[in-house]
Amino acid sequence: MTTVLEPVTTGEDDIGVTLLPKVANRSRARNREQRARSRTRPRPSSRSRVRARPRSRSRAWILPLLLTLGGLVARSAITRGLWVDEAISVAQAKMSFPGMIHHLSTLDVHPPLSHALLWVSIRLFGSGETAVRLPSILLGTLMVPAMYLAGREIYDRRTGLVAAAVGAVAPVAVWYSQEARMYAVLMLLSILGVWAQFRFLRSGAKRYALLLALFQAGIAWTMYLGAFFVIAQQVVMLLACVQRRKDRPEVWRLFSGWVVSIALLVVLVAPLVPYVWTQAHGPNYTQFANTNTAGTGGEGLGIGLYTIITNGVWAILGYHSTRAITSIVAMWPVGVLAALLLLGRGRSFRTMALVALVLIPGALLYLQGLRSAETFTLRYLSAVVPVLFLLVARLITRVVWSDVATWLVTGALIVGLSFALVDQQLNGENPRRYDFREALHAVTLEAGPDDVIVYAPTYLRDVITYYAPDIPKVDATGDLEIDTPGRVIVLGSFFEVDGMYEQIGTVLAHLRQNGRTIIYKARYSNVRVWVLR
Amino acid sequence: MTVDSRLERSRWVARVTPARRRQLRWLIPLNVLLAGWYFGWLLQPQRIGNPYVYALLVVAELFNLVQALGYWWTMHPRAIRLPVEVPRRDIKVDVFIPTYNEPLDIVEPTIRAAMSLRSADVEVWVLDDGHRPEMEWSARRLGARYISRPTNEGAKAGNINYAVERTTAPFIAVFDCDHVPYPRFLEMTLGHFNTPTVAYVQTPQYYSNAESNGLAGAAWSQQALFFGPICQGKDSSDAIFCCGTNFVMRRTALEDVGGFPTKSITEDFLLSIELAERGWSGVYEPEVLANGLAPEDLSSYVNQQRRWATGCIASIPRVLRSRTRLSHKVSTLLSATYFLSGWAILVNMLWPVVWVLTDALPLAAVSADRFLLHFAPYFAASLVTLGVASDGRYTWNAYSLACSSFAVQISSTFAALRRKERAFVVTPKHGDTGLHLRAAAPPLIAAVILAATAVAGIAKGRSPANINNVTFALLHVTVMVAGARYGLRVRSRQRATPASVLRLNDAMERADQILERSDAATSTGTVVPAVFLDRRSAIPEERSRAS
Repeated sequence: MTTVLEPVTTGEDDIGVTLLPKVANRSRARNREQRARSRTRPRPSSRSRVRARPRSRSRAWILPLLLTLGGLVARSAITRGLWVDEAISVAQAKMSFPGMIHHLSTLDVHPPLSHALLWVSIRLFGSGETAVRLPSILLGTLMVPAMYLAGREIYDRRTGLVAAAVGAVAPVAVWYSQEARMYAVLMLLSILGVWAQFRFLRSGAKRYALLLALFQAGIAWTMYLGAFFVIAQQVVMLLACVQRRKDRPEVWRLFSGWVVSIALLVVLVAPLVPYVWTQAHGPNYTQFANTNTAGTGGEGLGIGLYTIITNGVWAILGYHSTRAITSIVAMWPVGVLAALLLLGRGRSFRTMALVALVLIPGALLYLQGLRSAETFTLRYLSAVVPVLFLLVARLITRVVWSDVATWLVTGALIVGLSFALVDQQLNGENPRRYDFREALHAVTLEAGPDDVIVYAPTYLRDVITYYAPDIPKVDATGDLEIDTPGRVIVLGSFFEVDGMYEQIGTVLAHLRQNGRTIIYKARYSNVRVWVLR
Repeated sequence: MTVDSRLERSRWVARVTPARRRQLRWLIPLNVLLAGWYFGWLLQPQRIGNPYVYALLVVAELFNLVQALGYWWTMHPRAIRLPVEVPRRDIKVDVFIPTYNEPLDIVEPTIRAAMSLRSADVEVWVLDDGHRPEMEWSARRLGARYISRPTNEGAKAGNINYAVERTTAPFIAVFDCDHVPYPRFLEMTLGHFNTPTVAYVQTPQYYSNAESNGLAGAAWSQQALFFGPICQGKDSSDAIFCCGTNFVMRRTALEDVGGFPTKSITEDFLLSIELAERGWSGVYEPEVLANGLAPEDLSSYVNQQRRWATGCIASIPRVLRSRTRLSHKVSTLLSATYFLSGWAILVNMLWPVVWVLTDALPLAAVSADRFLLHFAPYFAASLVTLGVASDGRYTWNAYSLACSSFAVQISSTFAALRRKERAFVVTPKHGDTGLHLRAAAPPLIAAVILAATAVAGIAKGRSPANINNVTFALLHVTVMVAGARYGLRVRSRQRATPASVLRLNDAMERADQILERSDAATSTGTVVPAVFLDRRSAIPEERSRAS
C-alpha cells in the first residue's frame, strides 16, 4: 500500500495528521480498538463464544462429563473407615424415621436433611461403609458439573472447565464426599446457589430467584452454620442492587425478585423453627455452642492467624500432617507472588461478589468461633469451598492468557492437587484421619465371647458399635470393675482433648492393679489400642 | 504496514476520579495504621536475630516505608485543579521539537501536529542536533523552522537554550520529537499562565504504543502511576516538576534562571528546583494532550532508566541544599530517592543467600503466622491502595520490570557518587528485534544465583525456615525472570519492518513527488523553496544507500 502524506481536516479532538489513507487508518484503528477492548473487558461469555465457534451441545459437555467421571473415580477410592460423627449419623439413621427425627431434635445439633438422605440410603442399600457414604459420593460428584455450570455462568466456559477440574480432584472436596455426613450436600447446594444467584443477577428471571431460595433453604436444612453463607448471598444481592441503583427498572426487577426469593426462603425454612427450638434447649446444643477448648481439627491451637491460615490451606490442599501444614504455611511468599500477579487485573463485580461469599461466612464463623472455638473449622465452612475453587479457577484464567498456557497451568495444578489428595488419603499423620476400623479390626479378629472393650472418650460408642457390634463395651468414665475372664481391650482417641491421656492412663493403671497385664498395644492414626489379659 | 499509534486519541483518563478519591481518603489512613502495626512489631528489640542482617532488613524496610509514606502523602486527595480558559487567542508560542538521530517517520507527525495547534499564534522550531539535511528539508517542507547549532554542548538542554536565545515568543512549548501533540494542547494549558507566578504547565506523557508491545505496556504502566495520581498529588502540594516534554514554559521564567541547566542529564528536574527557588511554580494539567512512544526493547528501557536514575540520584545533594518550601523539598527528594529502590530490592534478594551460606536470619524465633499477622495486612493494604490509585493500570509486568531494573539503579548510584558524567543517551524510538542479553544480564544473573540458592536450600533440609527462604528465593527468581524476559524475546521482524522500510521508501516517494512538482514549478517559473532544490542532489544518494 502506498503511503500518502495528506493533511487532514481534523475534528474537535483529532490529532491533525495522518500518514496513511483514511480507509486503512480506520480499519486498523478498529482492529486496535477491538484488541484493546478484548484486553480490558472480561472474556466473552460462553454463550457468545459458542455462537462464534459453533459447537454442538453434546460436544460441549464431553469435557465436563469426563471431569465428572474423574471426580467419581476419585471419590470412589475410599481409603478410610467411618469416624465418630459418621458412625453417630449411621446409628441415628438406622432408627425409624420419627425416632431419628426425635433423636436429632433432642440430642443433636444439626438439621435433618442429610440424615434423611442417609436414612433412605440405608433402607435402599444397607449400612455397609460404601452404602452409608453413597449419598455423599454421588452428591459430591455432582459438585463437579455444578462447578462447571457456575464457572461458565459467572465467567466463561474455560473458567468453568478449570473449576470443574479443580473440583474433581480437590482433596477436601473428595474427603467430604467420602464422609457419611452433610458436608458434601452443603458444598453441592452452595455452588448451585451461587449458580442460581448469578443467573438471576444476569437474567433477572424470577424462576432463578426461586431456585436460589430453594438451594438456600436446602443449606439451612443441611447445616445451621450454612446460614452464614446464605447471609453472604443476601449481602451480594444488596450490593448488586446498590451497584445498579442508577438503572431504576433494573433495580426494581432485581429487588422484586430478591423479595420473592426471601419470601420463599422464609416459607421453606419456617417448618424448621420448632425443630431448632427443641434442639436449642437440648443438652448437646449448649455444649456445642460453648465449647471453647479445642482448636481447628482438635489441635487445640485456638483461633490465631495460624488457625485461619491452616483452614485456608486445608480448603485448597486438603488435610495433611501438622508438619506438612507448617511447611506449606512457610511458603507464604507464594501468596505474595499471587497477589503481585493480580496487580492491575481489575475488580469485577462478579469476582468481588465471590470474594464476599468467601470472606463474609469466614468472618461470621470466626465470630462464632470466639464463642465456641470448636466450630471454627473448615467443615463448618464447607459451603465456601466450591466458591474458593471458582476463584482459583478464575485466577488461572485471568492471569494466564493463552489457552495452551491455561491448560498447562491447570494441568500442573491438577497434578499438585492429586499428590495432595494421595497424601491426604494415605498418610497416617493426617490429623483428620481416625483409623477406628483398622484398630478394631486388628483386636477383634481373635476376640472371644468374654472380651470387653473399654473406651474413651464417651462418644466413641457408636463407632465401636459399628465395627465391633458383638463385643460388650464399657465407657471409661463408668464402672471399671471388670471381672471377665477374657481380654480387656482399651481403645482411646482424641488425645488432644484436655485430660484424655490422664483418663486412659487411669484406666490402664486400674486394670493393671487388678492383675491384668498389657499383652499388645498398637498405635493407629489418632487411635491407640491396648489389649490386657 | 502499520498505523502510527500516536495518531490515535488516548483512552486513558489521567485525572483521579471522585470515586477513587473517596476510596483513597479512607485507604491511606488505613495504610498508615497498618504500617504502624507492622513496624511497631518489627522494631521491637526481641525481634533481632542476627544483628547485622536485622540492621540491613530494617534499613531496607524503613526505606520502603519512607517511600510508601511519601507516596501516600502525595496521593492524599486534596483540591482538584480545574482547566482554565485561554485569555486570548493571539498569544505567541514557540514550539520546540528537539531531535538528534530520530528517523523522519518519528519526527514528521510531531511537526505536523505541532503546526496544527490551536488557540495561539504558533511557530514550530525543529531543533536538530543531528545536523541532518533531510530533517531540515522535512521541517521546512512542513512549514516549520529549523535550527541546527554548531556544537552539541549540553545535549537536549543546550539545544533548547540555544533555541531560546534565537526566538522571542513569550511562551515555549517543548515536545520530544516522538510526542505528537493534540490540537487543543495550548487551549488546555495556556490559561494556567493567568497566574503570573506560573513558570510552566506540565501535561502527561502518554505512550501510545503500550498495547502493541509488551515492554512498552509495562513501561506505560509505570508512567501511568506517575502521571496519574502522583503528579496530581505533587501538583496539589505545589511540588510538580517539569518532566522534559509536553510542557509549556514562560520565557521570562526560563530566562530568569538562565535557561535549562546543562550540567545534568535530568535538566528538567534541576530546572524545576531552580525555578522553585526563585519563587516560580509549576502546574500539572492532568489531561493527555500528546501521544508518545515508550521504549520497545529492553536496552532502550534500561538506557532511559539509567539516565533518569543517574540524574535524579546525582541531584539529591542539590535537592537537599535547595531553598524551597519544605513540602516542595520533601516531594522532590522523594522523587529523587525513588531511584535508590534498587538497593532495597537487592537487600531483599540477599536474605535467602545469607541464610543458605550462614544460617543467619534477620528475625529471631518468629513463626510464619506471627510475621504474617503483622506484615500481611500492611502488604495487602499497600497493594490495594496501589491498585485503586493507579486505577488498575499498575500491573505485574510493570512491577517485575521495575524490580528487574535494580542493577541499573545500583550502578547509577555509583555513577552519581563518582560524579561520573553520563552522556545524554536518546531513547531509541523503534524497538530492536534482537536479543538484549546485556540489558537482561543483571536480573538473569540474580535469578541464577537465587535459583542456585534455592537448590542449595532444598538440599539443606525441610525446616520451615529453610522452606520459607527457598520460596522467597523462588519468588524473586520469578520476578527477575519476568522482568528480564523482555530482553530475551526475539520479536518477529515483520512487525518492526514497516516503519523502518517505510521510513526510506516513503521519504523517497515523497521526495520524488515534490521534486516532480518543483521541476514543473521551475519550468513554469514558480519560485521553489531553496531547500527543495538543494535536496535534489542528495536524494539519489540516499536512494542508493537505501537500495
